[in-house]
This record gives sequence, structure tokens and C-alpha cells, in this order.
Amino acid sequence: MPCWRHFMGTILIILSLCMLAGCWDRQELEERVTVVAIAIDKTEETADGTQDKYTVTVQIPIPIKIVGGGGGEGGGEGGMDTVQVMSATGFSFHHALINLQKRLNQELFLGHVRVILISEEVAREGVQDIIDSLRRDQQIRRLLWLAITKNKAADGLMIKTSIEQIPADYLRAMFENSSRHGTMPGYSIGDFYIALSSPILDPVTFYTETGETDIALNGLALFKKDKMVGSINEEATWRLMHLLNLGPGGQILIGDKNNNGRHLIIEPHSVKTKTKLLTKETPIKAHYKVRLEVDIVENSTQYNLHYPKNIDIVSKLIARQLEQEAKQMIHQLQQYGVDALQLGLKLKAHHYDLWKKMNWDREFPQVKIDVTYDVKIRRTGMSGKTRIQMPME
Amino acid sequence: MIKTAKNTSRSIDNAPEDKVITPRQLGSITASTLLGVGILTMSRNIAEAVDEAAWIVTLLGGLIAMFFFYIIIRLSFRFPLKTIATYAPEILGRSKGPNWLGKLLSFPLVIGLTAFWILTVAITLRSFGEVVVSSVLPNTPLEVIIITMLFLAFFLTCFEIEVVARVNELILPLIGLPLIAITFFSVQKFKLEFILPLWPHFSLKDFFAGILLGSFAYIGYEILMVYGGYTVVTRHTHFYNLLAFAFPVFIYTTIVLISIGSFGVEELKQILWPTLELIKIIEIPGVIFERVESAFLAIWMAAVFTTSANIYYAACFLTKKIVASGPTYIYGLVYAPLVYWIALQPQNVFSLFEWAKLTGYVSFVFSGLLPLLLYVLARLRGIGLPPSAQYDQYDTNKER
Repeated sequence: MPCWRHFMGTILIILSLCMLAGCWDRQELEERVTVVAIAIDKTEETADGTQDKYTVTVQIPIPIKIVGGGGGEGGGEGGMDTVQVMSATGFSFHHALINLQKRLNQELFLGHVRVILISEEVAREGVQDIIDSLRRDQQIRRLLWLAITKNKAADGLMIKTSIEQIPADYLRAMFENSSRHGTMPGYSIGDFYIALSSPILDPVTFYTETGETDIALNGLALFKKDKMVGSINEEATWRLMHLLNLGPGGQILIGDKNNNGRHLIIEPHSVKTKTKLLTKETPIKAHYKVRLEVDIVENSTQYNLHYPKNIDIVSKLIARQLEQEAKQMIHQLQQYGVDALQLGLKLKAHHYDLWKKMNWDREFPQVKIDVTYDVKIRRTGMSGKTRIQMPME
Repeated sequence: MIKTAKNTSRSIDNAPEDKVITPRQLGSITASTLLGVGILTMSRNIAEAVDEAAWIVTLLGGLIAMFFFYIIIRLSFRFPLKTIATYAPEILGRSKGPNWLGKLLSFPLVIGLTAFWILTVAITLRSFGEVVVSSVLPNTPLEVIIITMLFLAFFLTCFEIEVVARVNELILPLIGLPLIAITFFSVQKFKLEFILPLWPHFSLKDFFAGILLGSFAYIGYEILMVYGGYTVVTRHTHFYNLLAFAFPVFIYTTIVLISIGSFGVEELKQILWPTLELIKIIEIPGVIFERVESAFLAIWMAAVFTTSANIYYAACFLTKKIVASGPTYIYGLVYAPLVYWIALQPQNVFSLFEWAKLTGYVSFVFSGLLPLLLYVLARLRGIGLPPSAQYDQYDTNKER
């Protein structure tokens, strides 16, 4: 019936015209304020007795100053010229954002946030409400970096750098590269969510220290539930990474730092760890066997590494020190009661019945954890026979 | 090639149906109907009930559903050129003379089936709308998204059953191939400890309850009680169909497995759309693609379309067969407001999930028990074509 077909055709054309109207949710790039980094601090007591809990500071890039290389007036300083830093206070994280919105000309957009810094003061009181707010926000992605700062978190957004145009980019690259090169475990905020909702895992995230104009990665912040309880330094973090099989970690100084400069610096290349849980005994025993391949970067000891016998001695030396450091780290973790080793998860996975019977939180500090390192020196370098190194036979 | 119907110059309405669906097309209909809206939420639904065992449950539930699916295709092939509206009275009633008993008995079944499909389409469209509103287009009204999709589904009812088959055959690769790719890319954050122990707090009761729950994830294959009768049955048909069913089972199981392995059960239970979230954490090396979830949503949109449109078409077509007059699109017009109304009934996402769970239970009756009953009765009473007589010659166009 051609009549019907014409009718349908007309209707279709009219309806498809509706589609041409464009997108309901259209929003121009200029019509929003893109936040790239957030810092959360505790509000300092003011004279008028404010009840606000948090000060939230955001970093907003200024598009005009970033476009192209030569655009910047006055020679393109980079750093703080290309961004605007604003802060507001509020009862909660989101309340502070609402207060911030009041002072902005456009809508806040959090979809490009790459770094969130939380000050240690806030973290020690608990971050549950902040995390809840972040979780609900569809714009916040799971792959951004969460870091705890030892001092004021807002200072982390003020760092002066000419390397990157936007300071937040500098921060992001710092976290990203450290995890890509295996010098830091790549814990993103998604991992924090997972650990927070899990009854067995304890959240762990980056610990940084901000100075006046810069920021340094200092290790890991340890959490019990949503409260920060302590931190471990960078060396301990690397031992933790060895035990977790997460990566080789950074270069290690072997030997006493005061020992007339007689020291050794090694660069770990690959790490392979085997974990064994001995569940028959009470308390449970855990045994880590770490196989580490290292290169020698600097050697000022008396050992000439051209001799295989010396290599044996040196690798035992290295192993002994690493074992000791790992044990110190484990001792630290057990004192805080933070199972960053994820032993509880292993126990639940492989010995479910046993795990069900015990209270892991109470059990973890008592667990006997043993670590043995097996160090293989791969590349020693050519320069060997210096005066201080005596030849062996 | 199969020659299709003789009257190719037919008008849009009142076309006599013929055996127009090729085995491959029927397989596409099955696969693309099963891959639907559930892909985003199923891992959480199942994990809520059986924790780490969710992926085993999905797999075993899939096998159970596959069994029912096999019953349905066997049943459909016994009655060429008939839908359940026609063969249910034959099976249930007297074989000679006026068949009042059969009509009376089958009427509530067929009406119930239609109502169930209407409900399924409404839930599918609503879930689709919820995902789009909550993750991509926060300012677009939910109603607009539902109406757009509903219009597409209605548009399909203006055509014949053959067109439905072709649309599915075309769209399935567009859904399937990227889905496989995305599934394998999402393995990155997989952690073995999260999926162990394989089945915590295992008991026989839990086992069967879990498998039943897993089978609810596969909704929509019962539309073969409508499409099945129009298939050219060859020796390959069963193979194609079981393969078509195995594909969604594989995809679903893998997605559930990877979701648990990446998030852990506890976290999984707290994510609204776990699969979408899983895709958000994919990092494709080389930074060629970022934010893969937009690509996934586009694919998923096509998957939702095939699910809702196929079921909607089946509902309209079945009604047409019950009433025994009029073109399909008339019923499409009648049902559209109904679907729209039902779709807007759940207050929020959580009551929507409750509705979806309910649909799962009802589906067990209509896609599991009903065809099983009909098939057993048909076999016992010897109604319909025996299996050996079902095969067509692949290369001849027989008069029927």
C-alpha cells in the first residue's frame, strides 16, 4: 500500500529531523572549570570559631596560558603562572566544593582530576566520608592517584616547576612513572576503594612530604580501616614490593653509611618471590623466598668483583642486609597491625576454613614471618682493580 | 543459497510468512538477544548470592539454560510455520474436531508469555536509560532515552520476520568481536587471590539455588518459540544454535570471572555497574585509546537494541497470531505506551533491580518449565513432525 509507505516515510523524516537538534548534554569546553588536582586539609581554627571541617583546594589550569609554547607573556614561566589555585572550606568534602562553586563563574568539572592529596592530619581522623563522596561522583575515575601528605596538602599544589606546564601534571607523572618503573607500587584510588570495602585488606597509599616549593615521594601511608595509623619509608616500601612481587624497587645502598665511604650501590632488576604459609603451627608461620637479580652501580668496598669468590661473598652480604631490612619492615607493619603484605587475603584464598575460625586482625601481629633473599649479581661493571681492592689469590 | 518467499513484492502488511530464517540468522537472533542489558549488572547480582563462586554459577546456570534452549528449538522445529500460539492448543487439546479445550488451556500461557515479554522489554529499556543517564548523559531526561529506543523497537515491527533475522545477522559481529576484545583487555588487574576460595560456604542447597540463579541471567532465548518455526532446518541448525548460545555463556562467565578477580567480591557488591567500572580501569598500552568505556557503551547500545527489539517483535508477532488478523505493527503501536508506562514504574535503580530479579524468576516458568511441559506432551502424544521429518533440503525450494 503506497499510501501507507508515504505516510511512514514522512513521519520518519520528521522524526529524524529531531535528531539533528544535537546533544541534550552538550557542554562547551570553555563552559566549565576543569579541576586537575585536589588537596584536602583540615581547616585551621579561626577567631570567629568556624565549624568547617575541611579546606579543599583545587588546581585549575588556565587554558589561554597553556596553548602553544610561546603564548605566555613574560617568557612562559610554567609552574604557578598557568594555573589558578582556589580553596574553600566546608563541613565535608563535597560541602566545600559547593562553597567553591559559589565563587566560580562556570561549573566545576572533576572528570580530569588526576591527583588527590590528603593531609596526614585529615587521614589520621578517618577518610570514610571523603572516599564516600568521591565514590558517588561519576566523574571521579578509579585510576587517579591518592596521596597522603605529611604537612599541608595544599602546598603540594603550589610546587614550582618549569618542567611541566601544569604542576598537577608534574605530580601525576611522578606517581605514574614511579609505578611504571617499578620503584613504587602503583596503588591507585581504585585499589584504595577495594581495600576499604574488603574485610581482610588494609588500605595503603602513597605518602609524600611537601616542602615550600616541592614534593617528595616518601614511602607508603598505612591505614587501619579508614584511619591512617602510620607510614613506612621508601626503603621499607621497596622491601614490601619485593615480598609482594610487585617490582624491583629503587637502587639500594649496601653497607654502613659511616663506614669510610666503603659502600656498594646495587640496582635490582627483577624480583621473584615465593610465599609459603605454614598453617599447621600456631601462630601461623609465613615464609618468603625472594630471588633478586641485581647490577652493581657503585662499588667502593675492598671486594674486587672480577673474582667469582668475591661475588659470592658480596651477594651474601647484600642478602643479609636486605633480609634484615625486610624483617624491620615486617616488624613495623606488625606493630601498626596493618597487613600490607596481604597475608590475610592469601590465607582466606588458600585456607578458607582456617581463616574463618580466626580473627585475622588480632592474629596478624603474632604471625612469624621469615624472609630469605637469594641475590644474583648479574652485571658487575669492568672497573675493578683499584688500590683499595685487594686481589684474592 | 536459500531462496526465500516467492511473493517478494508483497506489501508491508499481511504478508504470509514462510521459512525465511537461515540457521545462521537464527543463531544470531539467539546470541544477540542474550547479550543484553544484563551484561552490566549480572556479576554483582550473582556475587551477592554466592560470593566467589559467581563465575562457576554463571557457567553452570548457562548450561542449564542451554538445556532449556535445546528443548525450545526441538519443540519449535516440530511445528514448522507455527508459533506457540498455534501449537500450544494442539498439544494441550484434542487433536480432532473443535479444539476448545486446547484453546482454553493454552490461552493463559500464551497471554502470560506475551505479558512477560512486555515486562522484559520495559525492564531492559529502563535499565538502558538508567545506565545512559547515570554515566554518560546526566541531563538528558530518562523518558527521552526510553522513547528513542522504544521507537527503534517499534520501527522493526513494521517489517517482516525476515528483516529481524537479517538485522541480527548484521549486528551480531558488531557486538561480538569488540566484546571479545574488551573482555580480554580487562584481564590486566586480575588477581588470583580474589577468586579463591572457589566456593566459600558450600552446601548442596546453595549449589542448586546458585545454579538456578545463574540461569536467570540468560533471559530472552524463549523468543525462539516464535522465531523457531520460520527457520530452514538443516543438519547444521542445531550446531549453529548451540554455538550461538555458548557464545553469551562464554562472554558472561569471563566477564564475571574477571570482575571478581579485579575488584574482589566485597568491592564488586558496592559498584552500581561493575562491568562498566571494569572497563574504565583498562589501560590499553600505547595510549592510543583512552576511556574505552565510551566505545563499550556504543557496542552495548546495539546489544540492548537487539535484545529489546527482538523480544518486542516476538511479543507483537505472537499477539498477531493469537488474534489471527492484522499486521504486526498495529500491535507494536498498542504495546508501545504499555511498555513505556511499565518502564517508568520503578522508583529508582534499586527497585528496578528488584523488578529485574522478579523477571528472572518468571523467566524460569516461561522459558524453562513451559517448553519442557509442551515438549514432553508433544512427544508422548506424537504431535508435530518427528525429528527425521524436520530437515529441509538445503538447496531446493520445496513447496509447502
